[in-house]
Amino acid sequence: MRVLLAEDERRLADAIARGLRQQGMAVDVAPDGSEALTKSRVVRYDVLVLDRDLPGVHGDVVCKTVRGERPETGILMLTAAGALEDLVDGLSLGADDYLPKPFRFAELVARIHALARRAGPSRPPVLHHGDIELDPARRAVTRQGRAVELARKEFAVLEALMAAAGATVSAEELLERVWDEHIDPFTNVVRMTIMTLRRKLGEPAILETVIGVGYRMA
Amino acid sequence: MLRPPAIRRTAARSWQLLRRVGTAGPTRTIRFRLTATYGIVFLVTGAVLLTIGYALVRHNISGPQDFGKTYRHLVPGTPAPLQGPFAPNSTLRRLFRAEHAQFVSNALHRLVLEYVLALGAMTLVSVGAGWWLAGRALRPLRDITATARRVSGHNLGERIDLEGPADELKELADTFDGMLARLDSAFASQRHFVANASHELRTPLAIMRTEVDVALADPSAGTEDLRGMGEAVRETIDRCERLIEGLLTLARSEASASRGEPADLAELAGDCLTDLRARAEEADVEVRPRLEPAQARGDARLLERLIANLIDNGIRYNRPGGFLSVATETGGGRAVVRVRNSGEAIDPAAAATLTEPFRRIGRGGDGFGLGLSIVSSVVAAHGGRLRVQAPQSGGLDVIVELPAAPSVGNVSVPSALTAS
Repeated sequence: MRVLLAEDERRLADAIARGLRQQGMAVDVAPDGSEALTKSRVVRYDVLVLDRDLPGVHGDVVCKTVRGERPETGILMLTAAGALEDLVDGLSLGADDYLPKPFRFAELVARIHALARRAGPSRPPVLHHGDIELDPARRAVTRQGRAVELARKEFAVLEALMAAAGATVSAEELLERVWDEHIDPFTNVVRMTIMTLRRKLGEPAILETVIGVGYRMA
Repeated sequence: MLRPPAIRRTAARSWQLLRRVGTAGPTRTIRFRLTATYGIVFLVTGAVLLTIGYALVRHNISGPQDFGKTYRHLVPGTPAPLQGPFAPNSTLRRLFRAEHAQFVSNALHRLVLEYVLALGAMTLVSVGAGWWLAGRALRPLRDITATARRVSGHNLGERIDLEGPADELKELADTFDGMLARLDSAFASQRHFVANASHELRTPLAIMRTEVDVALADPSAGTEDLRGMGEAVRETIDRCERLIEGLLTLARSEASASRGEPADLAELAGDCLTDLRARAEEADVEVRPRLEPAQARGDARLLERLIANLIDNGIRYNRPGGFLSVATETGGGRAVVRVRNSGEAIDPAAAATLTEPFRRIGRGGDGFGLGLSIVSSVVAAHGGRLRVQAPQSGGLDVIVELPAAPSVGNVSVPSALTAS
C-alpha cells in the first residue's frame, strides 16, 4: 500500500513514517503543501495522511485539489484542532476520515487500512484466493490453515496481487504500490521478492509470471 | 370562621399578591410611569387652571351690582340716590337680586360640572397621547435592550446601529456598540490564543504518543530503537517545558501591575548580551551594543526577559554574517531599548501582527511565536510603548519606550558598597 504523509512537524512525520513502514506500507513524506501536491500528481497513492495546518499550500487546499485530481485516493485528515466544527469542516472539504492529535498509533493504522479498502474497488477486509487467506489488518497469511511468515514487502506484493483478483499486475505497478519513492526504478527487487514469495508459499505454485507483462494469481 | 393560622396564611398570601402587583407587571415600565406622571401633571395643572378660571368667572359675574347705574342709564333724569321701585331695600330690588343670585349660582354650578367633565376627557386624551409619546421616545431603548439580549459570547457581531438625531439615546447606543466592538475583539483574541495554545500543546503530545506507540508496536525493537525513542521523547518534553514557561511568563506579565523597583535597562541588556554572546557567535551574527544608562521602574525579572527575548529573536531570525544592534538610552522622560537585526525582508503588515501570541513569520525554527507577545505584554504592564518596524533592508527594528525613573546614580553607591 502506498501512503503519502503530508506533515510539517519533522519529528512527528519521522515517527509516523517509521511506524507505517513497520506495518509494511510504502510511505512518502511531504513537509509542505506544495510538495504534497507535486507528489500526489506523480504517484497514485492509496491513502493521503494530511496535516491540516501545512505551510505553503494549506491542508484544506491540498485536500480539495487531491480530491478533484485523484478521486480514488483516500484522504485522512490529521489535525490538532479536535472540535466538532473542525471535524465537520474537514469532512466537508472532501476528506474521508478525520483524526485529531494526539492519536493512538494503532488507530491511525486501522483507519488507513479501512480507507485503502474503501479507496479501491470494494473488497472484503480479508482476502481469499484458493487456499490462501490474507488479513491486511492483522498482517497474517495462511495457506491451508497454516501460517506463512512473510517479510513486509513480500506481504505487500502478495496483497496487491490478491487484491487484483486474478488480473495481471505489472512489475512497475508493484514497484509503485509497495515501494516508496526512494527505490531505484531499474531495480530487480520485484523479481527477487516474487521468487522468495513463491518459495515461502510452497506447492502448488500459485504465482504466475506473464512474460513481458507482469504477475498474477493462478 | 377562620382560625388564627388560617388567618395568618391568608394574610401572608394577600401580602405576597400585593407585593407581586407592586413590583411586577406594567407598573415597572418607564413607559407606564412616564404616562402616569404626564397624566397626573396634566390633571393637576388643568385642575389649577380651571379653578383659577372658575374663581375669576365667579368674581366677575357675582360682584356687587349697581342697579341704580343701570336704571339711570335706562331712565334718564332719575335722581340719585335712587327712588321708586329700585330704591335700595325696595322689594323689587330684593327680588331682582335674589333672581340674579340664583342665576349666577346655577351658571357656576353648571360651569363646575362642565369643567370637571372637560378636565376628565382631556386627561384621558392626554394620557393616551402620553402613552404614545413615551412609547415613541423609548423605542430606541427597546432596540438597545433587544440587541443586548441577543448578544452572547458566541454572537458579538451584533450592533444596534441606531439611526436618528444625535441625542442622548443615540449616544448610549453608540457607546454600547463601541463596547461590543471592544468585547468582540477581546473575545476573538482570547479564542485565537486558546486555539493556538491547545494546538501547540497537542503537537508535542502527538509526537510523544506516536514515538512510544511505534517503538512498542515493534516486537523486534532493540535497545538502540528504544534509546532513540527515549531521546525523541525527552527532546519533545524540553520543547513542552519551554512552551509552558513562555505561556506562564505571558500570563505573569499580563497580571503584573506593580511599579516595582528601579532597574537600569543598560545593565539588564549587558547581562543578556553576555548570556547570549555564545549563541550569536555560533550563528555568525555580529553584536553591536551601544548601552547608555536608561533607568526605568518595574519588575526587573520581566524587563530582563523582555530584552532577552528581543536579543534572542534578533539572533534566531538573522542571517550568517548579519548584525544585531542593541541600544539603550534616556531621552524625553523615556528609557528606550532599541534592538535591530539584519535578516530577510518582512512584510510590514505581517510585522505589525507579530505581537499577537503564536504569530510567526514562516514555520521554520523551533520558536512558538510567544517572544514578541511577551515583550508587548511586559511593555503594556509597565505603561510603555512598543514599536515594531520592518525596514526594507530586512530584519526587524523593535523600539521599546518605558517611562524613565529618576536617575539613582548617587543612591547606587552605598548599595554597591554594601554589596562588596
